[in-house]
Amino acid sequence: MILNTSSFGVVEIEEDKIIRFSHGIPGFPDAKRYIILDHPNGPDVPFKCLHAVDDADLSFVITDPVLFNCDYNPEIDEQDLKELDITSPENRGMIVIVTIPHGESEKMTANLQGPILINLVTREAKQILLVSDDYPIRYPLLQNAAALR
Amino acid sequence: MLILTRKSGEGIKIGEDIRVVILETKGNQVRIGIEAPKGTKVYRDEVYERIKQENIKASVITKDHLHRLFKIWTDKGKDR
Repeated sequence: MILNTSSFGVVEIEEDKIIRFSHGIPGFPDAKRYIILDHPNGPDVPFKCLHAVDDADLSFVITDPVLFNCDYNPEIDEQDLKELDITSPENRGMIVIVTIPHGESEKMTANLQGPILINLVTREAKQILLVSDDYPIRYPLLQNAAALR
Repeated sequence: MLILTRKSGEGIKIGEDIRVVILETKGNQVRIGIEAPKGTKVYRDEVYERIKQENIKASVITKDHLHRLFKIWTDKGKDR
């Protein structure tokens, strides 16, 4: 299908790659379908784009938290796993949203307290809120880039 | 909203398996203990709101952002 985006123009996407957030994500309850777009410089760039399918203007930069914080292994609530029907670790995907302050890209942070949990088989997803305070909402990515490259 | 007055050490039962205890009061701060079954989510009130505000802040991205990210990333790579 064809996706219109304000940042990337017209993009062709495969419908079976669509990720569904049945409750939207906090702040954006109406956008329920998203797609992950590779960085314009290719799939190897560790930053990707989580783009709303039904809103040309809504997108987030996402990354794999483990690339930046090798110890990132939060305890996931059983209820969240059940809600997404995640029964084995292989079915479980996790990404985090990156916040890029205007004009200060190098101060970008990742939201480690509210990761996005994905069932890799059904492609159902949810932004979960970790109960513990172990992981910050604004984790500075560049100062801590442990395993980048 | 149900409003109850409690003293330090006193508690409140919510349903069969949730218990809230006032542990200590000091000035305008109250320490609260919560006993709830595993799987019950207990958050400070402001956590959801903070996540929501962070999402709103993070949702403003442009192609320019992504290009700048790429540059930062490749420059970092050169340092190694």
